[in-house]
Amino acid sequence: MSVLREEVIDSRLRLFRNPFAGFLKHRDLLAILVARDLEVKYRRVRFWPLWLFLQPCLAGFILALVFGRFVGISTEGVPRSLFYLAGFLVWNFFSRCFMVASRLFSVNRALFSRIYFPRFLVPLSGVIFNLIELAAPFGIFLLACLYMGPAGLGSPFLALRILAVPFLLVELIVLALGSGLCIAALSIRFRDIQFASGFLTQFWMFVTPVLYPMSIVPDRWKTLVRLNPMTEIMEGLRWAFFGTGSPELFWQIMGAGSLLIIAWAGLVAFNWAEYAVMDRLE
Amino acid sequence: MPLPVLEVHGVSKLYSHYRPKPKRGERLPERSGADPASLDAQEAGPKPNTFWALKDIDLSIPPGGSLGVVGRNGSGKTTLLKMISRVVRPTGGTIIVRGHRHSLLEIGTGFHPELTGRKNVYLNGAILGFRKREVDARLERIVAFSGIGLFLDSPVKFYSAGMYVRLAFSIGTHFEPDLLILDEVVSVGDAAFQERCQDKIAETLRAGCALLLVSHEISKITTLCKQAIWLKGGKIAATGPSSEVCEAYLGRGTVAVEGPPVPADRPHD
Repeated sequence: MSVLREEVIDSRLRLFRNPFAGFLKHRDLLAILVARDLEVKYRRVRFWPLWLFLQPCLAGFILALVFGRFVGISTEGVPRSLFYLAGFLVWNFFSRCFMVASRLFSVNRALFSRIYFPRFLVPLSGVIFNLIELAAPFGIFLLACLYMGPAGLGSPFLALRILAVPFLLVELIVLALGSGLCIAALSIRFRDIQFASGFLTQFWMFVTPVLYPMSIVPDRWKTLVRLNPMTEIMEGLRWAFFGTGSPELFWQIMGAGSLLIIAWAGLVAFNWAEYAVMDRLE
Repeated sequence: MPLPVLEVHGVSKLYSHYRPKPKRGERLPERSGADPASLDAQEAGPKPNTFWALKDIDLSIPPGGSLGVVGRNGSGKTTLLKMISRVVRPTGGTIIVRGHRHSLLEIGTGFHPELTGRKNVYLNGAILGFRKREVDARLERIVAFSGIGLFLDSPVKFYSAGMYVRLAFSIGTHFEPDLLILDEVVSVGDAAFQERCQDKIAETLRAGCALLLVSHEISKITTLCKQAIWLKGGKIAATGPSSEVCEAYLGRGTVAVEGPPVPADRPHD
């Protein structure tokens, strides 16, 4: 019935392994995992549009009120509500993808200890689940951009620049998964990391220009802030949406290069952790 | 002669004992590695506080063959199965699996309590590596075999324990793998269901599937398996036709133990 395939199991830790190996055979599992997550979250939730649409918009509005109006941070001419909605949506998506990866083994230990299937499907399904949840408020954001677009700015919002968004989102996902998987692997050996990772995402948000534009960062700090790969992604996205921000080609290339290293480190950590977690049943 | 479905070459697994670190100025007694209190003492590992849960295991199963594994608690049976199932990585050695491997190490793997029985069948089938249409084709038979009837569309959190394991077992056995790996799961449900399970496994075997079975119920090993191995302290103590191996195991299992004899056919640990 089935094609005779040979599977070799040995003790080697592979430094280069295709994380998508075996996906073809399990291709239906990806959709089923995403559907499972959606169903478990939204089953019997009566006001789901409220949570899906209104919640991110309210968060953006409150950020705009507090940081834009009360604190008075410059938004480089972009309407405050749009500026903070974009920041909130992007960071929220990033931190949730990061969480999917960093908690991969602690959440799925029971499943992973009983059966083998390509493990990488699980973080990937988590990313797709988060993309679906991002799509709804993102649609509202785009509509708001169209509506508020020409106000006050020379260039209309939503120009051809928007085509850069998918690339930047891929970069963001790679960064979230790569760094999250490193944290996941570290937390197997050092339990303290579990506590640090929540703090780390918060800290990371403040050193990334999410609630403020890059232009208000003092010059002597700019290089340091730019060393954070998330800075370039955030500034790039802001440029793609609004035409503001200051993505620099040099730093974009540096950022993409560092992502390759982070992705590789994350995959090696993943290859190690996949089995190490089984040897440390807690 | 076709290639074996399963080849295990010199496979070993090293584990550590987890012991509290000695306090400052305190010295714990020297440990050689193996725990003398365990039923079958394993060989000490190369570093202190390590032991070989399995050492240099070789075995193979031809297509359609059946191998039973017997041994006392802690002899390495489950570790062996987990390594063959690719859940645990061996410390040394190589395992080759040819064809579709299907492991039932535990019942209801991947079941989500909030999802209905039907959705869990699809989820479980997909985790086992089957396409949606392959599950479609078997859904009716799975439901009929499990006997859960109208509860198919209720979330499994409302199932009784018996219904839960019956559904899970039905999913596990209604696909035709090349190698079926079973750990103790044959002892689920009531007597009638157990009998049907055993019939179902025998039927799967007749269809040409190979079987690797771990059980403490010696009668199941002797009826379902032609060959057997006896694991003792992480090593193969005996191998051969299942009836002979089981006799050797039972003979020793009740005699050579200090303290009260442990009944060898306990259904569970």
